[in-house]
Amino acid sequence: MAHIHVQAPAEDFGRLFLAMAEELKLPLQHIARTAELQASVQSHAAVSEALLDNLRDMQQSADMSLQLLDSYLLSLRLSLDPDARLSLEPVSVSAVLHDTAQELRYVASQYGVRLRLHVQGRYEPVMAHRQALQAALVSLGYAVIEALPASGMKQMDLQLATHRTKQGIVAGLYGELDNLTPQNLRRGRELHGHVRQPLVGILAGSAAGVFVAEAILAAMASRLRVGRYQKMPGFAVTLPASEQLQLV
Amino acid sequence: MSHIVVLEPNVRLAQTYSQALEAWGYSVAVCHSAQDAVSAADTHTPDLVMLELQLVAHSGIEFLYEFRSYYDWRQIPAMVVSNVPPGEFADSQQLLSRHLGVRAYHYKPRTSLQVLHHSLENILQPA
Repeated sequence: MAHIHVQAPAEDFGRLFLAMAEELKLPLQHIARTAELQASVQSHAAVSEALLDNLRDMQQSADMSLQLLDSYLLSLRLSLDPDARLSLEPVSVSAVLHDTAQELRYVASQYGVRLRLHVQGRYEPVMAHRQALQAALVSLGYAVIEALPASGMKQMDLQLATHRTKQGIVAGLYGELDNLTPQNLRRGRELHGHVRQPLVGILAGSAAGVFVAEAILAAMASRLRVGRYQKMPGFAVTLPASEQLQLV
Repeated sequence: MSHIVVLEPNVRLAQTYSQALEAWGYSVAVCHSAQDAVSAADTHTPDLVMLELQLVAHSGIEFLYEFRSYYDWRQIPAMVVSNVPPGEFADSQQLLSRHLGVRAYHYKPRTSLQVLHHSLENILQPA
């Protein structure tokens, strides 16, 4: 018997995933909002604190998945549409890092990770897309927070930090990720899509958060790299300073 | 008690919104289609319409145009709670706010019930 292999173009699969990801948002929204509602309603009733904690955790897990899915959708749309570009505008990295920290705070506490924000000095704005930059940093943050417990450290710290270099303003997330090296990230990029654990020495899963962030940053003509801050390795991106506003 | 028409095509999410709104002290009419929402508003004039833009057969924008075409409903505020990213309306903010009476736009994947509650209170508070 002859077998006919019909190979769908990668773009078709991309569109299929796009549609599926949109559909997946609905049950996640339902779980997140129902858990939030129940936690709110039950907090007035005589129920155990453990039940309320479970409901809040359920809400946060669903919200976290929603955000990852949403960021994935953004990166997929950008990759499928060759004309799609993120319009860049002057953005304050400090403000984006602050909002990112706010979004990550609860999940960090769930994982026992201490979140720190280091913003040194007042830097000029960078050219970026604010929502996309934040989506990329939050995606990275989730990935790193999930990875840190494997470091075996008693006190797990995640630092969101920014500093200036000759090339621009660096925004990054740094933690005790000993195996995070430029070589391992490069190898992970090569393996991405071919193996289950492309960043096996750093993250246990598919590292979707890292590659989603990378795709979003690429749409802003920026590249994710491995950096160091206060001797801690991490994921960083260098963003060009906005020359428009330097004259102001 | 303020009355809210909720136009949400997803039945389960609509139920969750309805329960939350009732818990906050509002009376609610849940509708899954634009036509149902018009009928519900005709039965009991709402103080606010909360809607998704992605509906079956019609878009939320079409619904709002029709809704605003009735003289009595021109001043009723609308609140969008949608899976359509607000960035897609970046060039149409004036249309939404000035012509269609959209007082708040919330992106569903990033909007908690707590945020919705604050937004509703802001819109419905007496002047």
